[in-house]
Amino acid sequence: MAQIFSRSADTWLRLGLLVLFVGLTGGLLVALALDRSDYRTGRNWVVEQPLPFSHAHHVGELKIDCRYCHSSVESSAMASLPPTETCMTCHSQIWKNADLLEPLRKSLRESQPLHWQRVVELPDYVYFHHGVHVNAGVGCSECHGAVDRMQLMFKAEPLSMGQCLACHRDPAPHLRPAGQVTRLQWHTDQDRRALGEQLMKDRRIDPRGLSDCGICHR
Amino acid sequence: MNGWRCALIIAVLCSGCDDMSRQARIEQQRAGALFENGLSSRQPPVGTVARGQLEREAILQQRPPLTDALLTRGEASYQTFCTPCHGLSGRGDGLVVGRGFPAPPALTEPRLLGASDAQLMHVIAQGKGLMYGYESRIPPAERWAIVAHVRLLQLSQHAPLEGLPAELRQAFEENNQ
Repeated sequence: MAQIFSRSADTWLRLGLLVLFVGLTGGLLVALALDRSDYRTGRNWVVEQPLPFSHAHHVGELKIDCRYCHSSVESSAMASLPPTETCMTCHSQIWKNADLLEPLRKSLRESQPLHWQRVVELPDYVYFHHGVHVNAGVGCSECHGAVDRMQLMFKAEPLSMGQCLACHRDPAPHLRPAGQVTRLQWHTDQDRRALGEQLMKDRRIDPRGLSDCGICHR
Repeated sequence: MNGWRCALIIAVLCSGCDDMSRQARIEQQRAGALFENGLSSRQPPVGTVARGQLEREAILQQRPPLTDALLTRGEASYQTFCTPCHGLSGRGDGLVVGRGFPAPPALTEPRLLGASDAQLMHVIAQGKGLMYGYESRIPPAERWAIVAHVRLLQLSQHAPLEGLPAELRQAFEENNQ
């Protein structure tokens, strides 16, 4: 009876198994890496807006506080995008004939809101309340980065679930004293952990249960 | 065989699912399909009184007691909403004025020392001259806090020497000699 397997069959089998193993793990790794890539999370990608608003100019140079435009950030879930009226508070006088601002004037003339595009948008199954975070002392730049240096707005952090959880499990080093929350370049020489733990005590922030599923998925 | 078929059907069905990160629901500040012009809710009919409206209006009438907490809040709100034009000291030298916005009068000038609380509240809400109203941006209780801070700025720049505590007065007189 002739041999069923050739002399090299064993080698081919081993090679095949190796290729299968490498292919599967490699494929998985590539998929994981792609899932965390900036392309997927949107990090560092400038979002096109109705007009090229510069946070670097308004926040960095003119020192306008975040809350001037995002006025509901302390009291509601959403920080809120400003209505045309807010822009016109200054631009009714400054740069009032600039071509760049034509979409703004058109919006005012026709009473149609500007369609600002959201740069950071959590999935719909995540409950997030800006007010709670701001009042607890989480600085804007913890999630939004150095907005005062961004000519055009982009997402500075991937804002993955892992990031939310890291802070929820150990909030102390991310907390700031009152009045420093919107200071994007705030810096202290104090030990952030010791400071944060003191602030947690003062504000009665109890970290137990902060990483329960129902805190964000309700 | 049946098991394989089941698995195949489940796999095909699952591929049709999205991850529910964008759900068909009405969101704040996003156009909805409920009413014309992308509105998701109706404007209240003329003459209706919204829940909580009377309480909000009642806050406007009565000036809250001048506490430390009110002044702290007033300073924060003043710095957020007023400093771009009026400047940190209220002299009308904000950074936006430096960029060409006509300078507002100093909040500390004699004419405004005599302005009543109600007048200041009205200007914050409705604006005056080139100043836009901030009614939609600053809630009534916070407007009172800002009024308190404006009074503080006025006092700080017109404080009588006799009104100072002995220590500060001594320090001032020593510096001026």
